[in-house]
Amino acid sequence: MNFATQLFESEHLILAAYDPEKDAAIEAGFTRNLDYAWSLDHDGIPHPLTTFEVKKKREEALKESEEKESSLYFSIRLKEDDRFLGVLAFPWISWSNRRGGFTLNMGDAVDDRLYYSEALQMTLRYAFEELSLFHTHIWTGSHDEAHLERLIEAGMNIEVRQRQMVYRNGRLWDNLSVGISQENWLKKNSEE
Amino acid sequence: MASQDVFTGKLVRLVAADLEADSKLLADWDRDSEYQRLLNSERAVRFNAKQTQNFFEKEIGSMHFFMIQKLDDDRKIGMIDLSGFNWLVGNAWVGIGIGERAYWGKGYGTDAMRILLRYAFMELNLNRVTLNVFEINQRGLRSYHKAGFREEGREPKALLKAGVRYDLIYMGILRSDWEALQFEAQQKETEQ
Repeated sequence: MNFATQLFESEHLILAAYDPEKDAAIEAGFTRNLDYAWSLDHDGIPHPLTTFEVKKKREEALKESEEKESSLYFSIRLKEDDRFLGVLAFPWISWSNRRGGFTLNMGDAVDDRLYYSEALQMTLRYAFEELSLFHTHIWTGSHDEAHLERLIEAGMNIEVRQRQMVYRNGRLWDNLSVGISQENWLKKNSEE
Repeated sequence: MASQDVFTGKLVRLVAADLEADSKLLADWDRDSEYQRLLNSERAVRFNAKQTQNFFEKEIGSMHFFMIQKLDDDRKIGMIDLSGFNWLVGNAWVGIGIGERAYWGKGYGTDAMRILLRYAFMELNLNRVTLNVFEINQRGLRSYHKAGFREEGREPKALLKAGVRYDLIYMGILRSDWEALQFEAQQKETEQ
């Protein structure tokens, strides 16, 4: 990793600015999958959203991001054909403490399987090497074993387990905060 | 228990805020920067009473906000609130502060928290109540343990003040934890 490293590119992916005009309609389609809908609002009631709702939500978030400079949003696109795959967000960054969480969601199950880990690697690189965060984390539910496995593979650890705080598939699950420090991430990546 | 007693404990009662008068009180308490630093991870700042009142007029609808009032002389010494409701899983976040430092460490906060938990479980039908606290706030931590909260994890070194980092401790209490505590208390009373 050096100064010239291209932060917004990986082998197959591009991190681009989120474009509500183009991306919101596709993202609304993603919310037919309730896992995706839940990922947009962990405290809400997951349900499929209209293009109007997604566009409004994203436009408001982008406006707040510009005004307060404490959040960031990217669309994840496939390098090969510029297809919109999902969204990376840092919804709230505390600059005074150099900490902030992120959300990373892919709309299609096949894309998720193929590219989630690659997008996660790009996310952590950006968080630690550009934003210079001291620590970052992502919240997920204990029902989501597939993503949990990939987060752990990337060197992250379960740091918080809030009991019975997620309801999916007919039962309560734990809400997990999975995190990693800049120090551990740099160490892991210098070894590889 | 008569319904009017829901908000009355052994040392304090919880009362709805008088937004005009109490905003002045809340703004005055912020002069104590240690109080602010214990409550909030962001930079300590000063807001005037009007700004404080504007904030509460905007946000009061989404939270259950109370002033903590001493039973013996009706003096308002702090505030406590439930917010961030997730009705799907029955969770809310609690925030508490004793603004008058003469009353720190004397059981007023613990009494207020016990009242709030009774309200949360008996009247709001919540399944859990959640909070977080910085590890430097040992007095708060002891109080929350006393009220029945359990530690559910930590974000390591989340708070940065004067070059020193402190963990952010997540705590939660389930309805089942709270009911077990009520049962134990009843058993003790019976034995005496």
